[in-house]
Amino acid sequence: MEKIKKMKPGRWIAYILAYAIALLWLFPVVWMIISSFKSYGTPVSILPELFKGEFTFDNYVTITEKAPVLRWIFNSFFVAMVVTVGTILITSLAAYAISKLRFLGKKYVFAIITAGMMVPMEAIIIPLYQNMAKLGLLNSYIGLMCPSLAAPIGVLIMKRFYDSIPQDLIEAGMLDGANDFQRWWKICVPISKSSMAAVGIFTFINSWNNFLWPFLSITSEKMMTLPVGIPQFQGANLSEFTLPMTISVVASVPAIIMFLIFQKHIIKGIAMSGIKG
Amino acid sequence: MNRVNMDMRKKILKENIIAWCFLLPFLFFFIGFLLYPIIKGVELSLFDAILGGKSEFIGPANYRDMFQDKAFWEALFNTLFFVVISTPAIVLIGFAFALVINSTLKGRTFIRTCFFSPYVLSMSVVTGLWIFIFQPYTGLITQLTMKLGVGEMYWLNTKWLVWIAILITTVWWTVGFNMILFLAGLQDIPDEIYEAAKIDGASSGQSLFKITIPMLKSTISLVILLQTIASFKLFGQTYLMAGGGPGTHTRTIVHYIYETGFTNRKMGYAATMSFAFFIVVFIITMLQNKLFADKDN
Amino acid sequence: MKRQMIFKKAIALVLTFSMAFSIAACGDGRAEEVKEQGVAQQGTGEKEADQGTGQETAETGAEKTKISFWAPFSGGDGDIMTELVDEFNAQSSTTEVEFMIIKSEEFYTKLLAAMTTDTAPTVAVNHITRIKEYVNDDLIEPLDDLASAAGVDFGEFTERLQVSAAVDGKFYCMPMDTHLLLMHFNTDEFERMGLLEEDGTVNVPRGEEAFFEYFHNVKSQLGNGQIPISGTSMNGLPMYLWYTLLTQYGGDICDETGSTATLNSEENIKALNVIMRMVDEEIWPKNQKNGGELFTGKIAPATINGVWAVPMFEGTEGLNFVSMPFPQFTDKDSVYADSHTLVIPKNKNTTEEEKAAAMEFMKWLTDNTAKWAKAGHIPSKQSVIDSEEFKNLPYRSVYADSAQYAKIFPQVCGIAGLTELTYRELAAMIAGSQDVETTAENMQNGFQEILDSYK
Repeated sequence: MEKIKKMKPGRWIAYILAYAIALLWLFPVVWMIISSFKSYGTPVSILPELFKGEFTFDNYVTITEKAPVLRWIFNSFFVAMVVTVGTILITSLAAYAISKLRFLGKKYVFAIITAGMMVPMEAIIIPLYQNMAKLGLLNSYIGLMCPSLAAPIGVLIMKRFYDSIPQDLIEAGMLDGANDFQRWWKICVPISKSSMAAVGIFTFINSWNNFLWPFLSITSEKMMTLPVGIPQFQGANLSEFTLPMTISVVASVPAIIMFLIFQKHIIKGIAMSGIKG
Repeated sequence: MNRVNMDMRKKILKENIIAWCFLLPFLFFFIGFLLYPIIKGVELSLFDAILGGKSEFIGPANYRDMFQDKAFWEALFNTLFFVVISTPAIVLIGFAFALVINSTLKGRTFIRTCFFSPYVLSMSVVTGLWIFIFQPYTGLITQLTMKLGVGEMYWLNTKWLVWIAILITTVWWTVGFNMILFLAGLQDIPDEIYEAAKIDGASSGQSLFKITIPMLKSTISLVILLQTIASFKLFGQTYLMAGGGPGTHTRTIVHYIYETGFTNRKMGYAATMSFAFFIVVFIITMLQNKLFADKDN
Repeated sequence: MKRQMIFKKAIALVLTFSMAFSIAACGDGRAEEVKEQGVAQQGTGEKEADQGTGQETAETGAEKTKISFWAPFSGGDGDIMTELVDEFNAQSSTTEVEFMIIKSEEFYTKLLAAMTTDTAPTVAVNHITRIKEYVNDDLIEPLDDLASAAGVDFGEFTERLQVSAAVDGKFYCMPMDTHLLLMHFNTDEFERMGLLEEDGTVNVPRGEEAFFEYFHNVKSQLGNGQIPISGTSMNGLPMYLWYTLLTQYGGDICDETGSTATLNSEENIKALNVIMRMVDEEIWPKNQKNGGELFTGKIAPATINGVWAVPMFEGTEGLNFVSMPFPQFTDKDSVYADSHTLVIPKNKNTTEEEKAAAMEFMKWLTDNTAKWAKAGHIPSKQSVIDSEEFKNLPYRSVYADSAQYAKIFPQVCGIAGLTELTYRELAAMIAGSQDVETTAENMQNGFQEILDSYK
């Protein structure tokens, strides 16, 4: 793809800078990974101590023995997957309506949806909890998923993209008589791949790391998600960090993998240029 | 005439119905699990409600108390301060990162993954790692400043310095989010435009200001909006890294709401402050929107 | 165009996949619900059957009564409690406990949310200092009747715990332990400095001046980059230290009626001044983020931390240490303490049978606190403290006596609010952003406001 050019000095500097910052950015993550291979009780913030001595897999064995970590990974993954797919679909539909269709009260609907983001979770968690208790949805997968599906941020991102598609383009690609659902499904969905991938990444990660709601709503160990279960390995008032680091590594890996899968779609997105060809 | 009118009406009605059908799945979850609790919260703000205890209707008394509550105003100020320092920083760095990744550097996937990887970590992991970096006596930065002869700085316990620590942590953690949004936006700009500009002899600086930024306008305003709201909601970093301290120096509004509602169990008053918080965020984001809309003309 | 096709197919695939998944989830959820309902029905059925014949059939009945138990124990505490619950479940023929560990910082948020919606567990751990507040708001069950039916004698608990466990003469909780503040010493370091006693302990002499003299001596023998005493300068630890000193100097947080805060007292000023002297003279240097790690990392030869830190220090390779009662600054022995207790939260879905099962579990747990002492805590019953099993544990018997003069916060509502307040004020004072007088005044005004809000 790339042509081999002579490297100008400016380009050299750009390379060095980009890689230096990237490595700096990665450093805390590497630190976390190294700490997870140290024996229990190693003071991880004292760097010389961290690189001294043996490395061991013990912590990884310990966490799976101590708690149903695999079950938690499954719960987290399952909830995040359904929420991600669901969010992409319903926010894309809603954004299409707001961007491309005319209807009464459009301005207000969009304003209310945007305003929905401005209230902190901490403020609504108790009414939400009481509501869910009434519906009998506590301690269930459905109860875990529903609040995450109400994601205004997805509507905003998708709407921004649909706004940038000219109406002509949609009409040109369609035969006469196509309805709006077909327009959305056949034209808009394929070209909004990169935005959908962005929404997908954010939704997945938010769901994956979501703490407060799962923490309140889950009442049995087997229904726990990772962020709810992880604190079991951290002692309050204590200073043992190798186990928390280990479980954090385990918790980060699936999210990184999801990122690697989604990012391709963002970059190689057919996007606008694709439609022209 | 009449017939055309009828047809028009029919068409409008049809469009309305279709639009609401498109909105329905989203609105179902939005109303049930977000809007309804919000409305419940507004109702709660008129009560002297203790979590797990009494609940008495007291009208607007909570709002009166709030205006006289110094701690509320201080928390609001702290929050606004963070919004002002963090929003430009995170948006600009996110934009710069996106440009780097969108260029023709070799090993982009690696760099991209480096920049984005902190975003997948959870709050407790992020703050835990950065406490190790900033903490006195054994922290990495302390080890560095000791070697340089600057001495102990007490990053997390010194006024204003603590904000820098929190800002750095927040940039590191969340910049990947903005980067991805910008990247998605950059990918939407057709290469042909750049090529045409190049033929016309535009420098890369010129194409940045004449092509990239204007074409990204809607993305930029979206990112600013989302970042402003996210900065307003700051809580975990200040709470876990500095305990809102020293004193109440980094106690944000969400922290104060949390403390009021859950530690002191005053749900009614917490709901009152949440509503006020919402109004402030709403006004500020609207003003921002206006600012950008004016620039369009 | 080809790419578009592939993408569309992919979307369709994901869609089908997710739908199948969610259907499976619904199915799964429903199946579980049905199962639970089934259990509940069996439970009630059994109850009806039992009513005539009483306890004997319950014990021989095949179906165990299921109860739930929530505790804010993580790390080592959690492991030991899990072992205890497993042991109980193995030996009880009538009761099955489902145990859940909950993040300690947000434990009470979850418990309160559950208590307001009748979804609270059958048994929950509660700090003894919160009992009054929960009784005040009618959130927990009185235990006297259940206890006497199960043959529990509250007189077996240590006197100090009895005082705090009862509100207006009625018992609402069963204490499991006393946990209090200690000082831990690195014995290798103290031996090097010639300060280790012959029996392997460390003896900090009584009195304020003696304390400072002793630690200035320690300080003079330290290596480069070391500090004499470690201890986290924020959150809980400053408060434990402060309350220890406040009560040693004869003060307290409020008067005997529990309605007037007494934090503008001379005693409080004195206690705060001593803390600042420790900070300013760099005996306990300021702004420490993680005192435990400074101790295990051998930056500090001594550390201020509670009994709960003992298992962590025991588990650290290459660390030789001894845990001693916290030094006394005056003639009046005192040390900050609290207690983990067991309560039955009010929940209209909890049946009488479940309550009886809960009491069986609570009784068993409080009888077996010698095992719980592995987590560092001091048992709640004198008979257990005197037992061989407890005495054989290392370190514990050295500091167990400090339970005799342990000081628990007076029984008032709003201790959670006071905790938050003192965390903040003390951290600000230690960081140097406010002086002792301002701190005392803020504490007084803040706490008075909290007390007033419960009137």
